[in-house]
Amino acid sequence: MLKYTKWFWKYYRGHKRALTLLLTVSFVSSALLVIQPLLLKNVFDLLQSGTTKPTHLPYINEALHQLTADRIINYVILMIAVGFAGFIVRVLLIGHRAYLNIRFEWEFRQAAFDGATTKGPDFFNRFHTGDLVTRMTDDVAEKLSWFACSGIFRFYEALTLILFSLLMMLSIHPRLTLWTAGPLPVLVFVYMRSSRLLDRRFDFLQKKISAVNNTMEACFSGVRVIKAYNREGDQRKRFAKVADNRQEAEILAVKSHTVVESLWMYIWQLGIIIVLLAGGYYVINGSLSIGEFIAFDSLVIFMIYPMFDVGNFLVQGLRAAVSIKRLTELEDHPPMVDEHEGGRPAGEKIKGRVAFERVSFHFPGQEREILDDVSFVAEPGERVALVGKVGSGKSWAARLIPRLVNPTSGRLTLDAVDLREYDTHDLRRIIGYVPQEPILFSDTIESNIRFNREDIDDAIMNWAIEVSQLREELAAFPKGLQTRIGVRGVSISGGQKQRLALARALVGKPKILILDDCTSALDAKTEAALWDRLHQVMPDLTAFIVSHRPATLEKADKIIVLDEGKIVESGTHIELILSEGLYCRLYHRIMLEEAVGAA
Amino acid sequence: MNSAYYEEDKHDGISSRKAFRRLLPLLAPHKKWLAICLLLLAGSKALYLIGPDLVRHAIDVDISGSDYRGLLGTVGLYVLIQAMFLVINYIFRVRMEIIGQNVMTGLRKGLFDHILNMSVSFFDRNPTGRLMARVESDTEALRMMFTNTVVNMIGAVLLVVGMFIWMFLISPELAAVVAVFIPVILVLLYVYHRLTTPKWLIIRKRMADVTANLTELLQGMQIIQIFGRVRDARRRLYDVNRRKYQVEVRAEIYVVAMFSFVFFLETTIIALVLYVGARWAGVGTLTIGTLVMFISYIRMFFEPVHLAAEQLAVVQKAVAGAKRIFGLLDTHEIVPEPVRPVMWPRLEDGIAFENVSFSYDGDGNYAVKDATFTIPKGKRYALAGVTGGGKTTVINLLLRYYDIQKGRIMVDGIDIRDIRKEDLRAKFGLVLQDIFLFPGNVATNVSLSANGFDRQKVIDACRTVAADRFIERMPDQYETELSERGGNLSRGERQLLSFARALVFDPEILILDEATSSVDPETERLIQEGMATLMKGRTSIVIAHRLSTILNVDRILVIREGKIIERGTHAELLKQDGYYSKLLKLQFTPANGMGVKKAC
Repeated sequence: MLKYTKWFWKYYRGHKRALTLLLTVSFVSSALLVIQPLLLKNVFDLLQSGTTKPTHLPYINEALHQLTADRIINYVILMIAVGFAGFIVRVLLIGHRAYLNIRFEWEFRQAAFDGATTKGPDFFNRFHTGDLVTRMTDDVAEKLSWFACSGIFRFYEALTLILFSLLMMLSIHPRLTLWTAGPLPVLVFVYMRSSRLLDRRFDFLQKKISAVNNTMEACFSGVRVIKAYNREGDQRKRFAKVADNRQEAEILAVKSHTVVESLWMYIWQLGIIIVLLAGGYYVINGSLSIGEFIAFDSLVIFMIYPMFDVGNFLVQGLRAAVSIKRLTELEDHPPMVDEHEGGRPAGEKIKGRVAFERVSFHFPGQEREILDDVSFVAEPGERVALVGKVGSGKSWAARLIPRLVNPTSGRLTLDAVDLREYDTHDLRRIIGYVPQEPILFSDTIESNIRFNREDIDDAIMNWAIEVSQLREELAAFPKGLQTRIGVRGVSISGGQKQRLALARALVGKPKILILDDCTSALDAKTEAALWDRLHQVMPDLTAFIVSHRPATLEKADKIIVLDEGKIVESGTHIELILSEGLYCRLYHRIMLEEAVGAA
Repeated sequence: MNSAYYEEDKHDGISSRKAFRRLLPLLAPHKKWLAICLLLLAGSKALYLIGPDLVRHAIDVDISGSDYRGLLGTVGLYVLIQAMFLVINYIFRVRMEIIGQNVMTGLRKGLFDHILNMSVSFFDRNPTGRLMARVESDTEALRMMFTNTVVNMIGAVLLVVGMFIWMFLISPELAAVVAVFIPVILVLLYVYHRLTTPKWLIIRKRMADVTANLTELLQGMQIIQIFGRVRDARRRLYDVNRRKYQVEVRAEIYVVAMFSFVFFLETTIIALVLYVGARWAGVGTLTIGTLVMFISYIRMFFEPVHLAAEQLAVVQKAVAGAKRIFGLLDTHEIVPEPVRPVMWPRLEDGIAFENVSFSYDGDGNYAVKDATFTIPKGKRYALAGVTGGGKTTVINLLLRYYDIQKGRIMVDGIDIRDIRKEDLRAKFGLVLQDIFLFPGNVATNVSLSANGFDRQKVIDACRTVAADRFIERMPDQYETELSERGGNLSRGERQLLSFARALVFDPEILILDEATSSVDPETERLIQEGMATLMKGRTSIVIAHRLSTILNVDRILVIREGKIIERGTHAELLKQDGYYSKLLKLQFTPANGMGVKKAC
């Protein structure tokens, strides 16, 4: 319980004024509400006094009429005035509640997302995107944000209303209050227990709905098999059966629901009945006036009606707790790399000598070493190829360089200085990274290439586009650089995406370029041309390429062969072929794949 | 990454009015019960209205007359009326639900049947999730509208009409005071509707934007971090969030104003009624009880007003759902049956492809190009090639999942387009890379029947492929429920089950897409034996991934980029030392497939 309050308090802190307003205004609103029955009491008592008692029915007497009517007018005007004041207050109250609900939704979501931006790849492995999106939308919007404000403050309002009603009732007639208020909480309790029965019926219904969905899912996914074996008729029968079962369960649930709902309506009526019986008795024996009796009638409603909010609060509270847990699960996952400002600048003076010094890496809590005691050096201007089977650790070696993750032991150095000492922002500025799966965003091509970096002039843009072989492609697009891609834009081919990603990396004029197995979209000739160009324009560029293309490997200055996280061989292509080891076998396989046209 | 993108609502097909008109015939068979329900509803509302009248009697007659016994009588009657109301309400609600459920279940079954008739290309283009949403959530939205909104609306109208009739009978002047406000409220509701409905649509869109942007940013987080664009990503989400927030706040202002004002209106009307009652009511006709009754009615009157405002969203969802449902029902993507079907009782000679060309999207991108070959009866043929080369397509075409653009596919000289699909497919048995499992137990899955199958056949088939060993170790043996997607079975066991399935159906022609995953040697042996058993003496087409399978067939067709480039027996192809040889080295070298020993 305390944990959850603390979680909310984080956000409440920023809205202290609004919350204080809510607290006071709820109070005032409830007070104003309770005044109405009081005014009613006065009106009816006046009416009563203006009646004659010769017959049983209280008629309004002509003679006393005028005087009474004048006084009643005052009360009526007061009623409308209080009503109006109540209106203003309610607008403030509900308005602020609604405003805070929406505001909290925003804040919860932003906080969750901001938190996610500090997490590393293991976080995104553990929580799939779909799951994250659900937590940041469904949990936040549907369940939490309403509860955070309305849920809690309606509960508070309900309490104040119940309190004021009780006080008012006590001030009028304590014994009647006892009769009225006494049994009601018990009944509300009964209502809530019967709601549990409802839950069971609903769980049962959920299972039946799942069965329908499972049948559908299996059928539609396996439609080829069904058609092949002519089993459509059988599937229809199965579906009919689960659909019928579901129908039955739904009707059962509605029956329970209606019964519980009737119980609720009955509690309401019971309140009125008690007032009629007990209040009627007291009016007859003279200790209660008609006006007071009528006031009680209204007050009973003010007491019953908020109980619903109380019950709701408890139910919604449970659901909200679940959602908070789901969000704190995300928050509690340790962030990967600490982004610290300050640290050594890394700018023009950097030469680009990258060294791996006994680097090991594994995920926290896992034993398997993804990289194991890896050491090698890449001199400025060298092209280093990282080769190995799937799972050999080559992609992770590449990811260590821009400090996407930190090595668990050993260190990486740039120009003989530990990477961790550099300003992370600067470091990433001078490194260009092209991932395996090109990730682009729904935006213009130009925005994707620039990726929001300042000081990229047109000359560099043109150069990057040229080198990545995008020039012709752009000419084919209707709006060239301004063409939108992504969801509301044109769809581009995988190869074009890769070239875009390449341009994006180049446009930052990196000192170090990392290509993670991404040139498959370029044919061999184009790729060779790419390297020549790069070498021409940026002779000091240190390049790391994870690749299995023969052309790339043959031209690399150094090849590092990884197997299960360890370096098993290294050297130039010729050297490695001659040594007839793992690389040789890998290489021949690659050649075969090319010949056969396998991807 | 500056401008986040924003979604647009797509409008499918038919208009709202047409959608509703098509719903009516679904209700027709329940006419009688609907009429009864209407009466029940009217009755329950009438009972509801009696309550305040009884209170009036209690005040005016019993209490003023100090008649406690009379009061007990009146209260007793009140309790009775309330009980009757609850009973009728219960009957009514349950009956309405039954009608609603009947209609919806009928609709769901109809949708399911319709979908199942569609061709495989329809399933290619419509992800399972979307189809499920049509059958499940869209119908549910319709049902909610029907059993909740429509019913509540009609009930509200009945209540208000009944209320006013009674009020006018008792005191026309007071009733007139209240009646004056009806047009005010109607106008209010209308204005509220016009102001807020477009906002709800926009809010939904903005929510979709949030989701879409969140998805994209989270998927691309690695890149965002590497390029140091985290602050921009946060900013972008901030903007998307803010846009939603702005519309929502504005919409909420209307909601808050509306509800608070309605509340104020209620108080005002009560006050006015008191005023009129005190000042102008005719002498001798107005009583305190009457005034109290009127106040109750006024409060009762405002219940549906609150409801009306909230129900609009439900209606919108339902309308959108109805449009999509009927749009789906109007889609007819079927592989056509022949007008004058030719009978084909059994395979006599063989299968033939004649210059067959096929493209999935119908325009130029050919998956199979000018393929010509024959498979004689009783022979086993293998298709070899790399992924995406066209092997699976050949199988798809044989089963007539799609119709080809050029050429002819023939069985015993008959074009398959001239044979009824059911007739054609009955001769084939399909074994895919992974067995497709359905909710049920082992037996129903192997036989692909919920019931009415030959259990002995299932057991025999399982025994033949040595699947019986692991089945009998299961808690309920053949009646063991298989968990979703067969989670409690290993890959090898699943393979054996799919063999058993094919055996149960005992097809004349076997189509087998071999699984590529590696299993332990013992299971491997069982699988190889199982396959040999399946293929023995049976016309077979196999997409082979195992050397043993390749060696076991009569002939091999080598496919590359949709064309058959080599054909012959294994020995013949090896001798040619062409594409096939390379393929062999690449795909069929055992263990970690690390290449040939030749040069290393």
